[in-house]
Amino acid sequence: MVNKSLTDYRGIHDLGGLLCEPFAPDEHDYEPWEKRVHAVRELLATKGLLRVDELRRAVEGLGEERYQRLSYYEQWIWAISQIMLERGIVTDAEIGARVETIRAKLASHD
Amino acid sequence: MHDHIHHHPHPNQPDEEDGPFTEYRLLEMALRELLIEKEVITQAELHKTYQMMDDRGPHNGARMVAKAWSDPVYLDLMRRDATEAAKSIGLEPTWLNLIALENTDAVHNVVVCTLCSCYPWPLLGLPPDWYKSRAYRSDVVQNPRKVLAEFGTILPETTEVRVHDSSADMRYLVVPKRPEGTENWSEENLAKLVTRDSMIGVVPALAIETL
Repeated sequence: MVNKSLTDYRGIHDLGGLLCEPFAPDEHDYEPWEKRVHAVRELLATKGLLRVDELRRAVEGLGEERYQRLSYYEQWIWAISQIMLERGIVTDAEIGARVETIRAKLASHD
Repeated sequence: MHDHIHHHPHPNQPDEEDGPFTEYRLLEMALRELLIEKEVITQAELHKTYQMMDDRGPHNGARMVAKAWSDPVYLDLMRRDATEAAKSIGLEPTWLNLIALENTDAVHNVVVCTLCSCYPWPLLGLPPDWYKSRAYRSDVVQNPRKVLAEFGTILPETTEVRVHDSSADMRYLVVPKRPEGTENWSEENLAKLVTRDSMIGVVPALAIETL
């Protein structure tokens, strides 16, 4: 039997005590779209449509590559969308169609 | 994935200050529009939520700390039930199960959320990027003195450093040491010395010379 170390069982989010990149206390002002993501999350939570553990489970399901590449609120909006899909509040087709509509509208202003 | 769409303002959002429209920003716009159309949420509720987010900031936590420094009865309440202490001065931490951690010469407390980003945000506002960074979440557990030094906080070897890991169900508020020379200060003035970072535990409260 192979002895596995504790880290073999870690989820991608379980970072306590690991040595990652060197720490630097950076920060940026929240962008308006990030605040909107936060507000939507807050509101859905208030309405009982999105629990904090659901959101985290979705974020942790991103897979390692995307978990590391995506910014915090990119992770969140993806995760919120997943939960809304799971709960049948929106469909994949609706989201896809709406993204294309918005993309076309924005492109026409170029 | 398509290339980023350029940064011309959306006609309906003249105050837009964001960067380019990435796929995830398009997803945000699409989902928000759909949720409003389906009447899952309303625009009015969203505006109310933005307002509430703006009202939440470190001034709330600072009020609690300044009161704890000034009022032994309040400090005692903070020690026993910090959630109740917040409510007793009109703050609404709602779901928050809050624990106050007092910094002293003997013990220095610092807070992290290793798994994600749990944070007492009704009392401190939205967390800074570094709090959510992989580097902070991993390193502050392994080597807290080194991380504290990045903030300019050098503690004597005789001070014990305790790192507290927040969770979805429990959040921490650090009560920094009261700065010297503030013996007769009002709570209002004391609160000006209490910064966000001092309530996370990465720096001390401001010294009086800095005001």
